[in-house]
Amino acid sequence: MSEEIINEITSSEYKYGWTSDIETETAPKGLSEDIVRFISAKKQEPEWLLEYRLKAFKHWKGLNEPRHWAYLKYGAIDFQDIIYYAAPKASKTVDSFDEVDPELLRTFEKLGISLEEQKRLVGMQSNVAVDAVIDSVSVKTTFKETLAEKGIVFCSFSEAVKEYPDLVKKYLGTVVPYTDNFYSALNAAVFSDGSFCYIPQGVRCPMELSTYFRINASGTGQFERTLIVADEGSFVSYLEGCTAPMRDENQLHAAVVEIVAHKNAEVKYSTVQNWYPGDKDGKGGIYNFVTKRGVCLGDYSKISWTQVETGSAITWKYPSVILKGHHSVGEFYSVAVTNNLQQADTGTKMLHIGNNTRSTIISKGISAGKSNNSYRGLVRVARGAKNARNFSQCDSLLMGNQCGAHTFPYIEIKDSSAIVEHEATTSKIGEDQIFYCNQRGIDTEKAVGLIVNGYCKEVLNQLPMEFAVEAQKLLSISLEGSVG
Amino acid sequence: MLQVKNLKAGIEGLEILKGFSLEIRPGEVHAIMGPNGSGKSTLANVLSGREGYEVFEGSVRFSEKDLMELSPEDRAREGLFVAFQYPVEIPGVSNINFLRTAINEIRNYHNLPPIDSKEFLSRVKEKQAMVELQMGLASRSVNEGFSGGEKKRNEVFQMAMLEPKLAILDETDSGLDIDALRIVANGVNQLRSPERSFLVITHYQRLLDYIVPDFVHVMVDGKIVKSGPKELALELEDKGYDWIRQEFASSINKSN
Amino acid sequence: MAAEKELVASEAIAGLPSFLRNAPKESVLVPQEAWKKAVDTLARFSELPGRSTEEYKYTDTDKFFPSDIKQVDVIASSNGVSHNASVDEKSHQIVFRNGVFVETETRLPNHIRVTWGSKNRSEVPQYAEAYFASTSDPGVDFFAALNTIRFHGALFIEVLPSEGLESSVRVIHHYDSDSSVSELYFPRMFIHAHPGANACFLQWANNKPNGPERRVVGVTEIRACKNSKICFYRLQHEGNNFAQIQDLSVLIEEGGEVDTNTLTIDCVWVRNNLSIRLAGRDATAHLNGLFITAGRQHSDMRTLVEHQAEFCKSNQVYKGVLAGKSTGVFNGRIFVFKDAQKTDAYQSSKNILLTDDASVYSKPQLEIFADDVKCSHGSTTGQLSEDAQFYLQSRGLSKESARSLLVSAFASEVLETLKNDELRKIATELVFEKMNKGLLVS
Repeated sequence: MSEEIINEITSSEYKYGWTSDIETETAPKGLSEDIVRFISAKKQEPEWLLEYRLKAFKHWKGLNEPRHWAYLKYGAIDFQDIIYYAAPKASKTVDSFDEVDPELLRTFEKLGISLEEQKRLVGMQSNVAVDAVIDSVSVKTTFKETLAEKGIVFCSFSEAVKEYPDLVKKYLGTVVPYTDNFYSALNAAVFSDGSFCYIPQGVRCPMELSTYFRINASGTGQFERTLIVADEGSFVSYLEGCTAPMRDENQLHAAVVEIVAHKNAEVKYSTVQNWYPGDKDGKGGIYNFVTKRGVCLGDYSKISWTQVETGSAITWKYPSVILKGHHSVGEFYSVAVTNNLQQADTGTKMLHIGNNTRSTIISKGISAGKSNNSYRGLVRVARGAKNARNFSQCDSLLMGNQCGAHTFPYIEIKDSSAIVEHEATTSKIGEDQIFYCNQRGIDTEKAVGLIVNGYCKEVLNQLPMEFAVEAQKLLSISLEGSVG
Repeated sequence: MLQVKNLKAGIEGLEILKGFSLEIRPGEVHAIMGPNGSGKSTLANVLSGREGYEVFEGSVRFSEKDLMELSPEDRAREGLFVAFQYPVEIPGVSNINFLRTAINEIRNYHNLPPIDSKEFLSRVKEKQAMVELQMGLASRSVNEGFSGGEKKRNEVFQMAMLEPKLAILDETDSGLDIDALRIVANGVNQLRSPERSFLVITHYQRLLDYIVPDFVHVMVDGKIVKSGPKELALELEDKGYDWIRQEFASSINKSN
Repeated sequence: MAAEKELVASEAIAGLPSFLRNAPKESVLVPQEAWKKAVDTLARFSELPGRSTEEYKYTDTDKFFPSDIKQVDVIASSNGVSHNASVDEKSHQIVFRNGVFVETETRLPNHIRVTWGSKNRSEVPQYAEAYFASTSDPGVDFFAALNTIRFHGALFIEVLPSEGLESSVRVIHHYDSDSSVSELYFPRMFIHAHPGANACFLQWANNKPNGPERRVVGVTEIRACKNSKICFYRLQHEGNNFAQIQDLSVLIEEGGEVDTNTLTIDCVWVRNNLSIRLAGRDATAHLNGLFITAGRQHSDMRTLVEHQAEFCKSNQVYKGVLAGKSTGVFNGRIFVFKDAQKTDAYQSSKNILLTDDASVYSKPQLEIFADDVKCSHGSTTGQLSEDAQFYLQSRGLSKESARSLLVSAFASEVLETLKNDELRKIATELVFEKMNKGLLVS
């Protein structure tokens, strides 16, 4: 397949690369105890949370930046050269739509996210409640009242700290403790905002809940924190989307997501990650170092992660499930696309602890340009975890001869009743498949989009409808014309 | 519609078509028969523009255009359709999605708007019935897990959907039992029209009992050595290809 | 021997006997560059490989060396070797006794020649000069580097093309000394197969069970030249007083084919490193292995297959059966270089756990930089089929025999790849014997 086509793909444009002219209030550059206190004070946080942050900060100071184990290459990050707090000026989470800064509204309109409930009710996306987060702050959460009628709490993290301190206190850091890793410690010290969601016992959330993250300010890092608690017998489907402007600098995004699923509860978490990936020479782009983990605490609970990763210069992300409850289920469906000089090291951990637990891992990696794409996963069956079942399938697709595709599955089994299966394949798009499409009048670029979408179908099928459409388009755009 | 003049072509420098000439006018059905290795499949590959095949000499005009100058997809958009001998499988891509994309690409080429969904679906339903393809197959992935017969029927189904000017059937009969053969032939016959031409490439005469050609050509060693009416196919069935070979050889000797 | 004077390993490394921290300034046999690389490798470590090193994540080596261990001087003791041991007249063999190469017991066909080197570099045969101590990269593994620095003598084996004859050669290490302290050995072998040559090596140890604790850190290098065919099968069944770390490094040139098999049937503690480089087009590698562990046994198999050239094939089948409180590790890595188009690489790792106290760790890795390749791996861990067991029992077999039969069936996929009838018979019997020792009681 021709060079031309490879060139074409590597020059496709990132369409969310613009910036908004929003007045921003920022903290001074760098990280110190003062900055941690500053952030906490800005958010008028209670003492216990400040203490939590300071403990995390102290722990973080004693850690070294993890640099060697993942299949990633990048220069050391200067953590004193980052702004840890940026917020649209005079911002607070507003209750009435009229109070929102019109420029902010325009920003989200442009991203295709309407914050106006009436509009959304008549529009296509009427069935999604959105928490919109820009830089460090949540600006608006829609449909709060509708959800409140069912007892569902869906608000910004800052608001949750004020309104539901007991819930936050009870669950914060229980799934991802700040001691977990370097970036979880950093996040715990400086996290700015994010979403909080609580589904009470027996409630099936009537709409998709969604957080949309947008980095706007320059020189800043984004450290949001999301906490989802699904009480007994409840169900929620949660979506996350993200974009950032095109900048020459690398911006750091180090988020933490914690999910708790009680007995018989089910949480479905879907991500379409489209942070700015940098230009074709590898300049700029987001460093996406994220810790996502859920715990199936109760029996018969279920947590399902679906991710479509097309953005970021570097992705380091392993959405995991701790299967504590008996008969609990963990799922991980992933499509990761890397192009140009992007690097992704992503996968999952499935930790089987309870009896009769099941997990499924389906990962599809697609590498193009000069990128490197790795699947890294752990399946662990603890001693005494009876009848654990895991099935993993990790497929890689290479386009061209400049990229790499890697698979690093760790399988650790300590119980004789476990059945664990792992399969991996590597392939390329068949020239005969492309020719077949050509012969039916479909040009090569479209053919590649079609074939790649087909290749990822098992994963895309897991996404909620409107997200799936978006993801399919995104896949074709990220790989425009990419044939090796 | 199609004029092939003195075509010399092959693969990796090896000449397989050695001066092949053929003219097909609108509405005609031509059959090309020949023994294995005579270059029949190479002809289909060269006409469709498969990568790796080279043209050394000669010309191919299709609808007043130089076919060899066009990319494979533009050939398709100009109305050339090949029903492949071994249709490839494309996992995860549904037949429906595949066809809609193909139709819209072709329409776009002719400056037409995308096809209306309702119209598309009713056409799918109609054409599917024509080749007795089960409803389920259309929503399954392209050719994936299809039996040999289903694949061939799917090729004819696609042909019906894309409405080409010239359809080339590359050994579509191979591997089909008699019922499948009848269904495939029946589909093709329904698509016959004064504007649409067919080039049926086959090894056996059997298919021609069902798709009755206007002309039969015998291909040996990269070119047509004998042409005649449909009865020629029966004669071939009777006497085998050696008869043609000998006749061809002696005609060369005579001319020498 | 030159005086030991250079400090090569950090004082801080716990568990490393002090005499191993020093080395001569240079080696008698190892080329200068490889020597330096080995020295640098040791210097890089601040502790013995274990949990915190990715390559030894599941195998701690800090208790590998007993505190009273001494390296056996295989040069000085060579005079004391008895020359009248019984010799099997029919079979070809290379014999070592307590680390000493025994020429009088070694018998080889005409096309296989050996040279023992221990004094100076001129003993290294010409064919080995550019490849000895670099086919096994001294810049990577701690123990391979340690062997490079510590071994006293190396056996060079040359395989010449032979007319049609398929020859198998046993490589037997006898360990039967009555030393009062723990013994440490650094065996070293280099096999060179000339273009078109063909041979099969079967290596095992006859270890006297009630002797001193023995530790072996071995390195074997194989260079298979154009269109040569080499089998290298290793059977490990040394019993309780014997722990080993073995490195086998293979270079395969154009059209060459190497078949390896590692059968770990009764070892208290073993780590095998196998690396294969497919350096010329159309080269083929077969990597097969089986481990059966019980009690507190530990087996760690690590493979690395590097596809450097086009049109090469590699095929791996590894199986493990674990009982008692034993631990099994399989770490297989396939690396496909950018220009290695049309690579065909396959790897399968299957494990059966017979008890709840056993642990198995599997990490099949793929690292791929070429797009037109066929690479896949599969790993499964499970238990013996209850249905099959029940079926056999319903036909009158005891539970133990049923399980033993099913384990044999599971193991047979690996045993059947052995192209040597003798070894296959021995290995099959050993598998059976081990299972009859009560391995299968659950």
